[in-house]
Amino acid sequence: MSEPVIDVSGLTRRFGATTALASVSLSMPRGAVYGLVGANGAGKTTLIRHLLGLLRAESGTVRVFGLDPVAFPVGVLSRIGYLSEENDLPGWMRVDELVRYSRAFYPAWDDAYSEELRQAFALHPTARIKDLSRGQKARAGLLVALAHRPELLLLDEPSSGLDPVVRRDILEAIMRTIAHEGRTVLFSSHLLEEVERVADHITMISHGRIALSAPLEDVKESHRHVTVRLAEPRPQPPGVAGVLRWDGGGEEWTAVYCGDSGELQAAVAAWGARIVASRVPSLDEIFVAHVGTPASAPDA
Amino acid sequence: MRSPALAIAWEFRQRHRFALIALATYALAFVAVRLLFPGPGQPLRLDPPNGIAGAVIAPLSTAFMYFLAVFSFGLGGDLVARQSPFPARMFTLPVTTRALAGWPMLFGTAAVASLWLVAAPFVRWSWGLELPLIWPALLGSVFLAWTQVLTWTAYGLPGLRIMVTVLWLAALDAAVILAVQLEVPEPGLVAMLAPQLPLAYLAACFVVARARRGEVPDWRGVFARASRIAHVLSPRPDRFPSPTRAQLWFEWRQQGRVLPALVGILLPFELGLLYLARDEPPVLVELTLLGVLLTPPLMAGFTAVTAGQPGRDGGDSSGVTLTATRPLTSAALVAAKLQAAIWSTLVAWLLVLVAVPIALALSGTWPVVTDGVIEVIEVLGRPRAIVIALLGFTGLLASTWKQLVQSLCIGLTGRAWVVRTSVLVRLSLLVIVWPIGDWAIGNWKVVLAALWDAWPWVLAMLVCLKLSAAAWVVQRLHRSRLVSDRSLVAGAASWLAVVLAVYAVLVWLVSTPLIPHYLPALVAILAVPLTRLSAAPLALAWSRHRGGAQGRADSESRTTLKDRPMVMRAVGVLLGLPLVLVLVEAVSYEVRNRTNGSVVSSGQEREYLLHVPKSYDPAKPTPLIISLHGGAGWPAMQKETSRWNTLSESQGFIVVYPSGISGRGPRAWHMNPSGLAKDVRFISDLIDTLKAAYNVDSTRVYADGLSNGGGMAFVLSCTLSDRIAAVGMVASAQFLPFDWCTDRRAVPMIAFHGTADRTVPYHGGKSWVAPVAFPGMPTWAADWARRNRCGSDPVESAVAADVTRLEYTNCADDTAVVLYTVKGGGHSWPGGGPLPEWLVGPTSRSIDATSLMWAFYREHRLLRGGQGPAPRADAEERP
Repeated sequence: MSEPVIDVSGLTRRFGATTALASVSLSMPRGAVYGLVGANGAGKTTLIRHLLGLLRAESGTVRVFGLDPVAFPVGVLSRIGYLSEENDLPGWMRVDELVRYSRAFYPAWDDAYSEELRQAFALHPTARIKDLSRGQKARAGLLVALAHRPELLLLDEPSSGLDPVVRRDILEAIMRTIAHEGRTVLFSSHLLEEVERVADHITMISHGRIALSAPLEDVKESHRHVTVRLAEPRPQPPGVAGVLRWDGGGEEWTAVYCGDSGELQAAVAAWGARIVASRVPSLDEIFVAHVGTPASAPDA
Repeated sequence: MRSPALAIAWEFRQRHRFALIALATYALAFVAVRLLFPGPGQPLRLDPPNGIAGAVIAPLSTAFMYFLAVFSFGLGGDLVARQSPFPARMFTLPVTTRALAGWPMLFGTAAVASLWLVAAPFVRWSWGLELPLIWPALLGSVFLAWTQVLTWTAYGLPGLRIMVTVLWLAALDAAVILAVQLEVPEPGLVAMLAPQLPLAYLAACFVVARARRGEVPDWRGVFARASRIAHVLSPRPDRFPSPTRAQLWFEWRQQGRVLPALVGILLPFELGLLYLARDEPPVLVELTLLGVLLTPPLMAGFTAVTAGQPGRDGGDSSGVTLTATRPLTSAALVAAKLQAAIWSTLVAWLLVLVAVPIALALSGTWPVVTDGVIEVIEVLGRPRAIVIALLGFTGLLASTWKQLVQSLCIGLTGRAWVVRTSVLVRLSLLVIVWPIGDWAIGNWKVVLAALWDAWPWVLAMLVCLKLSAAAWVVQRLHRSRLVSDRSLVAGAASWLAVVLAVYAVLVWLVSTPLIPHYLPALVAILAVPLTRLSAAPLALAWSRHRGGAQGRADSESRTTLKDRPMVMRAVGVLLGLPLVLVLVEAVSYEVRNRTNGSVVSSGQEREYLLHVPKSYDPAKPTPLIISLHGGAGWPAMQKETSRWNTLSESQGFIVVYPSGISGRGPRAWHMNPSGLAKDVRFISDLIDTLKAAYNVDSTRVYADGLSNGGGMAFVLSCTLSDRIAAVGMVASAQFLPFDWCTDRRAVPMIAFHGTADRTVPYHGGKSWVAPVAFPGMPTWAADWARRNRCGSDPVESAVAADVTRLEYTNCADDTAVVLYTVKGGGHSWPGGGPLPEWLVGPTSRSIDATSLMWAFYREHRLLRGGQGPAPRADAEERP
């Protein structure tokens, strides 16, 4: 199965004067978990809405399962399970009505599995959605997204504002999905420790552009978090090529570096400093390094 | 901003600044207009009361309602829910509850009071009407204050807020109206109203305090048992058979119950009016019933507010994204919405159909309805009455559904200002329609004259608008591939079929060659929904896939449109066919009914239809017959009805059908002095013109007419008695009394009249046509006999089973007066061309009025010097 599940090419989207996506290109083959990370307003939700056909591509193409989601809503949406951070389930519906209603749309709906999920999530069948707590609402949405065993699970910041118990449910759902052959998960989040736990592949979006897109292992291998002690205190950090971000001040500086660690040693030594600590950075730190505003501008 | 009061005031002003600006602009514009056009005879005639209604009352009411909504926070909040719509974010401000309740109330009451305090002096200045200043302003303030209190309260059941508020305000209003009726002086009214303000303030403090503490009563437990039982009893299918059925269920639960709920809330109040009106004249009952029948279509327009709106506080969203992410094509989604709209319509109308008979029975006003129905059946005949009732009902259903679809499209735009504007426009129309309708009914002659010639053009323009809009929509649909080609063609074909069916029914209903067929065709085209229906998928797709500025489909789907021109051609043909039909009908009608001559008389161009027989010999003096059409008729209609042309061919006389003045309403012969003089002048000029062109025998010029034309024949016998040898009148309508005629010359007269003539009763009296009472025919004939100085004993004979002949003999100058009475005959030409029986009554076939008239004419001629008829010399010409 070489055809990618998601194939986005040259996608641009403007909302008035703001550019939400600037010529974004992505290709996601089947069978992996993709983490989409970015700051608030980076363009994650816009991208996901294009994948669902909720936004029509202004320029560029969007293909899911090889089809245009706008032109073929049935072919695309029937194979996607979608959970978003906004709760868009109608408050007046009861849980059993929601199951009955959703079941009609997906030929692959598994009744036994849906019942199993319902019991696992402790959702009472006659409870009205507007009377559920936020976490329960998320679980109800998750049930609907999972019960038809979708080929593609699309999660748009699913854990925002949820307690750890629900977040664990969501992560488990992701892992269960990928345990099956050929299923794909794309989820966007800014809870990066979660993304680290389950994602195979990371895509970072910043200001509508792709800042980084690589397998998680490669990302971790190519980045290092170092603590550098300088010979004498300096107001500005030393300018070392490949360092994404400097923090600190005076004599001791920390940096997140992307590249070969040998070169880093040499470059640091050239400034008369030495590396006192070095570790694999967390995804959080990598993200902030790529995307955040620089704490201090280095010298040339 | 340094104080909470100013901050709150600023918030009101800022959020609604456009409305305030609009109001101020309107007021300034009005003042400017009033200043610039002082005195009488100004181009802007806005006389009371209708001028006041249009220019002042309508905007005032709209502004008042808007203020009510704004200051009670009703615009942003959910009025149906149990919780108070008071903005919860204000509860966490460091402001006391008294201030939170007090400032909005203060600003609101001040705004409403100042509305009145500005409007009343303005009315006084413009029209000199002394309106009271204090107590109406106070009433408005009290109204607003109580609205605020009742809106800010939390209730135990959803929807209770609306009911309680409406009931309380209605009671308040009724109390004030009662006080006004009882002529309570102003201080009394002020004493009644003023204490309510502090009372309302205290109540508001209490209510807001409770809302701030989050105390919301919950009485749903009472009904929980009932709903559980209902839940158990209702047969619920285990699974939906298809995605579209599931979506239909969703749309119904989400949106479909709004219209029935709105109608259900309003019905009891409207039907309550029946109870109040049962002792009043039946007109009030009929108006109330009319209002009830119009309620569903009107309310359907307000459902736009709830359709397609994103959820407010996240807990109760309307499922827009949920719908958009369903694995259903947009066409299927729209179909579900449209079907839900049909269900909505049916349920709402079911409520009306059930409630109205019950209300009629309870209030004892059944007799009014049954009387009206019997009258209609009498006039129109049972099959027509039934068809009209069915058509009317179907029309109301269709109109309700069309309004729902329109609201759907408006709601799908998702723009709040579009929705609010549409609601505001509707409300304003509601307020304006009453004074305009009142004025139109009062001045119906002016309205009729203006519309008579214009309305085919108005209809035609509307049809062109509709079809162009439909063409544009269909083209977009086709290009977007939202709907399959087959569905497009099938849809166009079904629309065509329904239009043709409606056209056929309407033609049968009206069933006379006199009403041009293109008018029912135009009505049918306008009545059957097309544009809104086909725009709905576009609206949904636009809402579902928010396109960018260009919104262009990508290159792959741009494959093309060039491949499928056949579809567009087929649809174009199907949609255009009715238009072609209309054009063909219009052209053929105009051709059939055109006149072929005109003469300038009294400075106006007057038309006529002339028929010269083939056997016309310029050497022989030929008789001339002038046949006058009836009111709202025209020359060709008179030609078809009287059938003089056939006789003219066989007997060799010239026949002319003059036309009443056209272009100013229905054509008729005028009975007022100036119009009458012009019409008489016209006939005289017509005779001169024809004499100049043909060899007309001056002693044998005759005039006859149907209905109003008969009345004109009487006028001619009095004004042109030196030119007209004899007159005939069929079902004549005499608007002038006999003693109007001062001419002493004897003129032979032959008349035909049916006893079942409802338009001009045989024995005289009033009818629906005119406010004057017509004279009875026997009396009329007797008067004429006196004029002709006949003997006093008329000879009566039976000519046919249902026709009797009355002749006055021994008259001066060998004249005669003959009256044919047709038993059971209606307002028609006996033996003549058919007129619709449901309109004029039966047409007798027992006699042929035309040939009898000709036989009468032949016996009478004009003598030179006007001494009387020549001796009956033409024995050889008798048939």
